[in-house]
Amino acid sequence: MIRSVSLRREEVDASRYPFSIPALRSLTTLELHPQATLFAGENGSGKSTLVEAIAVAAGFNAEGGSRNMRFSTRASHSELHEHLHLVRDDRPQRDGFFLRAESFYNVATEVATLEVSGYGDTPLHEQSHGESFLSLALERFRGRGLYILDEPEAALSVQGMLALIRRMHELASDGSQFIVSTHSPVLLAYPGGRIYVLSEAGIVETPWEETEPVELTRSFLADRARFLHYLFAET
Amino acid sequence: MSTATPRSPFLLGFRLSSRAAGDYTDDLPALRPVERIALDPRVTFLVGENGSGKSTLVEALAVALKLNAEGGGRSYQFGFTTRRTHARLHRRLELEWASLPPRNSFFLRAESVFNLATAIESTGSVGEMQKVYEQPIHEQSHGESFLDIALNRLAPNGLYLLDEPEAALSVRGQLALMQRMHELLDRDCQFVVATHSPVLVGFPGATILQLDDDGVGRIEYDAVPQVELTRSFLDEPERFLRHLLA
Repeated sequence: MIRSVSLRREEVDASRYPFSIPALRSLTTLELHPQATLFAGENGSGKSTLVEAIAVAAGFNAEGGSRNMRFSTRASHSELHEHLHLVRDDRPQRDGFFLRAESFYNVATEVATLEVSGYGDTPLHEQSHGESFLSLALERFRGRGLYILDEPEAALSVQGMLALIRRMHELASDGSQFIVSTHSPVLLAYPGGRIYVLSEAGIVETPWEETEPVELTRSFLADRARFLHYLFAET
Repeated sequence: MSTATPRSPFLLGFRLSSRAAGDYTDDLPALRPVERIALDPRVTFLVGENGSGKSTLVEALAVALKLNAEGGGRSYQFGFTTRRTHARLHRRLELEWASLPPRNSFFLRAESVFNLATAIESTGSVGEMQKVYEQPIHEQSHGESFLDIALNRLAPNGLYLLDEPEAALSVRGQLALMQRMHELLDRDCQFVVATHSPVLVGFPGATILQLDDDGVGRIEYDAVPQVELTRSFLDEPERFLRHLLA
C-alpha cells in the first residue's frame, strides 16, 4: 500500500506537459490516506493524469486492468510516472486493480478474449457497462488490495454508486487502499477518506461541502429554474 | 422554464415490431410491453437502473440510423471497431420520420470516446481532426475531448444520440453541454439522451422516459429516482451513509 507520492522535481521541466499542468506545477509530496484518497477537479485539471501515473508507478498497465494484463491499444499515458517516487507502508498487498472508466470498454474486450475466470458468470460485454463495472468491484476485488479507480462513477447509476461505496467500505476495513478520481458528489462523500482538489491553486485538501461537484449539484437541485435562468443567460 | 413551440422534429418516435431480435434484448423487462415510443421533438431523456436497457435502446436507435455503434458520425461507420458488441434490437425498430432526415447526426457514447480518439488519429482523418480539434484528442483529458466533440462537432440541423454523456464530464462540463444543447435547440436539433445524471436530466422542457420492470413510462423531473436519491443524499450525507454502511 502507498503512504505517499513524491515528484522528483529536479528531474522534470516544469514548462513541459504534463508537468506544466497548473495543479502539478507545485507538486512535491502528497500523503495518501491509508484507506481512501479521492481526487476531484475540473476536466483537464490533471486528476486522471495523476491517478494514472500513480497506477503505472505502482506497476499497473496504463490502460487499466490487473497487473498481469499486458495489452495496449495505444500507449497514451504521460511520462509523469517515471518521475514519481512511491513510499509504501508495511501492509502486504495481495490484490490490485487499476480501472479507468474511459478504457473499461477495452478491459471488457480483453477479459472476454482471455476468458479470464473470476469475473462472474456473464461475459462483461453482455452486461451493461455499469453492471460490468459493478460486478468487477463486487466479485473480482478480493481484499487486501490496492485499487486505483479513475472516475468509476462513469457508468454507474446513483444506486450503483452507493453499492460501490458499500463495497469500498468493506474492502477498506479489510486492509485495502483506494485511490480514486471522481466528479461525483456522492462518491466524494465516502466516509473516512481524504479529498484533494486539483486546480490552478495546486493540490489542496478540501472538505466535502466545499468541493465544486457538491456545491453545484446542491444549488442545481435546490432551485433548478433559477440556476438554468442564469446558465442560459450566459450564452 | 421555456416552452417554445416544437418545430421540425426529425423523429416522431419508433415502433418495436413484435418479432424477436433473437438475443438478450428480447428479455429486457422494460421493453417487453412496448409497442411504440414517442420522442420529444426537442429533448428526450431515457433514465433507469444499470441494466434496464436505456443504453441498449439508444444504441439500437443509432444502428437503425446507420451510425457506428461504438460512437461517432457516419464517416466512421466502417472506420473502426474493436469488437462487435452491439445487440440486435435495431432489427425490431421501425423509425417514424416527421420530416426529411437531418443534415447532421452523431452518436456519442462516453465509454468509447477513447477508441474514437484513437480511430480519428490512426485512420488519418487529420484534416477533419485539425479542423475540429485544436490538439490531438489523446493529449486532452477524456472529459475535455468529450466536451470538445459536444461543443464543436454538434451543429445545427442535427439529430444527436448521447449515451451517458455525463460519464466523462464534471458537473461544470455537464452545464456547458446543457448550454450548447440550449443553443442548438433554437436551430433545428433533436436530442435523445440516456443519462444517470440528476443535473443533465433537469434540462428544461424535456420529456423524461423511465425504463423499469413495468415498461417505459413518462416521469416528472422531481420523481426521477436519480434526482430524489441524490437530493436526499446531499441533504443528509451522514445519516444516509450510516444507514448504508450499517
